[in-house]
Amino acid sequence: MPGAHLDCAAPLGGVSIVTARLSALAQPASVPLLALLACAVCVLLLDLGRAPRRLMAALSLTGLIIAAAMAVIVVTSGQGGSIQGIMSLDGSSALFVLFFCGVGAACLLTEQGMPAALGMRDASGYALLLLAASGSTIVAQSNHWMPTIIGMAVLHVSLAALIGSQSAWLYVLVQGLSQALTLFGAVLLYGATGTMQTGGLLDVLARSVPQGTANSLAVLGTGLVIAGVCTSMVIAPFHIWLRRACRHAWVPAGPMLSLALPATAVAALAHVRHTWTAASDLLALLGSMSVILGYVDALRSRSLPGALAGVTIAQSGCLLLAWVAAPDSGWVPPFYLMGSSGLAIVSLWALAASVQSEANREPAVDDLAGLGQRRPWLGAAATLSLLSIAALPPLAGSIALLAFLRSAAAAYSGAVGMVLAGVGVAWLLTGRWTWTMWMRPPTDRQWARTTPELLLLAVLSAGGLVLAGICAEMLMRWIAGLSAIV
Amino acid sequence: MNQLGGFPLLTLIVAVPVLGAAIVLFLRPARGDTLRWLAVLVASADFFISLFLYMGWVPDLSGTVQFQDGPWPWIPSLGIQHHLAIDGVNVHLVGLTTLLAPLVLLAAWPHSTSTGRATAFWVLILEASTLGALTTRDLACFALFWLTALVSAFLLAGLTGYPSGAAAHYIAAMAIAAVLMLACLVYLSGVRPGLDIPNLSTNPLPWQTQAWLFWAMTLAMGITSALCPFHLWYIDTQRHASPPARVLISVMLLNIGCCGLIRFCLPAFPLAVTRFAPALVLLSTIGLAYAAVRALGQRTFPSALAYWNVAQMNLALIGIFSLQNLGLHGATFLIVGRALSTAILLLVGPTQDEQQRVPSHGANPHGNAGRLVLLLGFLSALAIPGSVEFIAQSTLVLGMMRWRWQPDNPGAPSAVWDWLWYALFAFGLLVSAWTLLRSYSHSLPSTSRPGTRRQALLTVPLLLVTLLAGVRPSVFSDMIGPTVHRLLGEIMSGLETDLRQKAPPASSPEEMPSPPSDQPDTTQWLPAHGHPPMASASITVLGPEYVISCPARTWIAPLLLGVCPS
Repeated sequence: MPGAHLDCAAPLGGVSIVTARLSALAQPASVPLLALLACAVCVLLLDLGRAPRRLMAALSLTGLIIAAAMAVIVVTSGQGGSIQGIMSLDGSSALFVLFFCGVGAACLLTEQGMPAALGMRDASGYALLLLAASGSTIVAQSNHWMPTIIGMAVLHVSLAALIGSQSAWLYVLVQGLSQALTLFGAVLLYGATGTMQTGGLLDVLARSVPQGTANSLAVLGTGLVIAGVCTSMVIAPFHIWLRRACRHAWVPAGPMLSLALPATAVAALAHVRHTWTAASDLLALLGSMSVILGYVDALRSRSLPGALAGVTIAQSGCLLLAWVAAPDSGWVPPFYLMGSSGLAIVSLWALAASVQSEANREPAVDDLAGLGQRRPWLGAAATLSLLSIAALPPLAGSIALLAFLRSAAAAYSGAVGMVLAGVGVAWLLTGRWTWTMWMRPPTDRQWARTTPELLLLAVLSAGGLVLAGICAEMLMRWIAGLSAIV
Repeated sequence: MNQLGGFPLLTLIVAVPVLGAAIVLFLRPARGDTLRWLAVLVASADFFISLFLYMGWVPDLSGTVQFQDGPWPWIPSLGIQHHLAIDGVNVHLVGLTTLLAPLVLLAAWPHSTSTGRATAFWVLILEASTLGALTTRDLACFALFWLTALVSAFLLAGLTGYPSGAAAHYIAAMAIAAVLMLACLVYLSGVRPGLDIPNLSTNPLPWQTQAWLFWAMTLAMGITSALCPFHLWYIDTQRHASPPARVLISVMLLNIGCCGLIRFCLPAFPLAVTRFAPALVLLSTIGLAYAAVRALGQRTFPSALAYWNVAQMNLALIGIFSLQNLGLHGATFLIVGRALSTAILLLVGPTQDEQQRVPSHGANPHGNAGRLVLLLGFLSALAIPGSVEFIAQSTLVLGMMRWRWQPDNPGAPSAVWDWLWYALFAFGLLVSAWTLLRSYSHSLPSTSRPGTRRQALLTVPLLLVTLLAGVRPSVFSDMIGPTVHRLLGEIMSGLETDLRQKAPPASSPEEMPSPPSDQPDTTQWLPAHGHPPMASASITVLGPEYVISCPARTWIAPLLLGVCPS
């Protein structure tokens, strides 16, 4: 086993490293994570004391805002850095933390906007939401396989509990498989490199393997990690489970399922993409396939959450391709894409939450008929989000797509062509939904009252897409500046 | 150049409707009449502002763009900038757009009682996006305005309901066009420092790259211009859309497509343009004949007029890709003339429902204003002398008579091909005219419907412009001419640059190498002294070569039309 002699104690003591170095967590770099965990504990304590639900929601929101703000402040003030070599807070991970906290806040607002009968059944759900964000944060900050896998596990367990009983079993099953594949792949990579650190994996491989020869163990390990992470990231052909999970999931957990999960998986995948030279090509192919399959799935779907699952798959594909092409163009396009697709999908989940009026009734695309006449602002927000997904300039989605496709065009021209075909399908989807919302006569069904929270969420997201598109250069510079901080 | 000392007049012209739309959006719906008057006021103000373009126009033989705003960087990392300017071709399209918007808003009054706010909002947005697309010099900004226009036209068309089949056609057309344009943008933003016209036209791309980019952009613009065979979405729109949407789509969207072809395709891809121009001319001629025949088979006025428009757009494409002064002149006049005639006929002519209610051959004793205007509109569309369509079609036909299939290949059976092509071309023109006459006789009974008099009054400005352009074409052609010269010059300079890049540095003109077999032989356009051959080449550019020495056969089509080319 080449290189196994380098750090034999590391895998055996992986868990012990984490437990033994807990004291090291009291550093600025761990403040975002601690803020999230502290708020989760507080919410649980308040729940024991039967505190009002609004108070717990406010506390959760505060925790998310503090975590996001602290991540940025710590990094920009130069106090980030490594936590005992297993985790670190640099510019990229701060951007991830910002994203995860934003998604968590969107889930909270969606839940607050739902009718009481469709709201959170148990106040511990707020703690689960914070835990899910914590899991994602751990993965984003990790430099070591153990925190990566632990973070993913925290995210999956929290999400499985959040999305509800009907689809939880499927979710647990699929993510269990994903975790197993990732763990086994990490073990094989350890065998190939002799280290559980993910930061210098490429350097170690380059030293231990002669130039030009393939390390079969590393290839197999990388392949397994890719399969495992792609399952979490809902990349084709590991995407089939998401539609069913979304259709039966509790709607406010939708943004977490659609956004946090793929982004966390991308953060995990970033560790291995250099360990196998053909990995980038494979990932680009899988990403572009996902774009087409996802949008086709969304176009065919009659269920609103099912269609959103398709959009999620397609956006994950775009994100993967942007990430693969990133070294050539910097890390700005993937982060910008992540933000723009996040805003669009949050707005669409707010739409799904508005349409749902009964607990056991799945919102359908046909339910959108006449939305433009009944809820013009909500309809306008949804239309803008769809147009952003379909890359209508100057909405943020179009700028993001242009930025990452431009960088990917030279190296992955075939994949770019497939993504463009996928965008064509996205236009069809946008046209179909727009026609349904604005040109079909309203149906006779009773509509749930659109609460101010949902309207605010949808309108803010859509407005964010417009603003992010118009101020794209400023945003890109800010992202470039922050992500450059190591 | 900017003759106003840097004042952003064009930006103002584009921004005024957007501001108006924003005010309309936030106005309380209860104030219906206020809201409509406000929209009309905003659109009228924009029209009066746009008159400064004509008043301040500097006669400039070099064809330089005028009233330039920018370039101001918007997203420099992607090469996108805000850069507006107009040339002698676009200035008329801008004027037409600003003239039409308030008229359509006034004409839409009775149709938009329940959808007044939405109609006003979308008309203003469509006007702003059309103006933006017509004036921008940056391809990414063009895509922005063009796609916004497509989407707003779709939403405007669907205000009174839209059948799913028609919507599906429109959406599919929009999707294909958008993807093709996005593909061009992605590629060009990667290889060019900027996406504005000067950056796109300098240092032509390799031949293969130009070929696929050219086809992608031409298809995108062809779909928008409703060229045959991409016209189904347009026909459906004309059948089912609300009346204001029909007029605006027929005028604004179709004009944007032509503008995109002339403004971006021709200078950016000179090699591909010269290589594929004959194929496009042939396809357009077939499209012209096909659309004319289909128009003849239509039973309702909007459908027949829609097919006539498709035929006219194909005719304009023939003029554009003839790559000749006269052809491009004619195409520009045709785009303006077609838009004017269509607007008049759609505003006064019967809608689909009205025609179905009124018997085709019923007695109509009313010699009212509607009837008169309808007659004038049809006469204008029929290209009678004194109308802009007459100038357009006669110029275009004369230009096309100089066009040859294979000019520098003596062995080719060019005469046979020429005759066949002339026959098809003349057939298309004749059947188009016949269609109009037939439509007139069928639509006459329904011109006495209530409100026709008011609609007729609204068309008076359009009729006056038609007459002005027909009687004094020099007012317009003095502005168009230098721009056309410059455009063809840009194509030529692109070919010359390509030739210089292929040639070894020290070689003399006599030793100029022939290009590889898989590349178009651009040397055929350029003799040794570096200027194009005036007598025989497809591209007759630069210089006062308006003297037409055409053989007898070139008189056939004009004579068949009843037009005297002299």
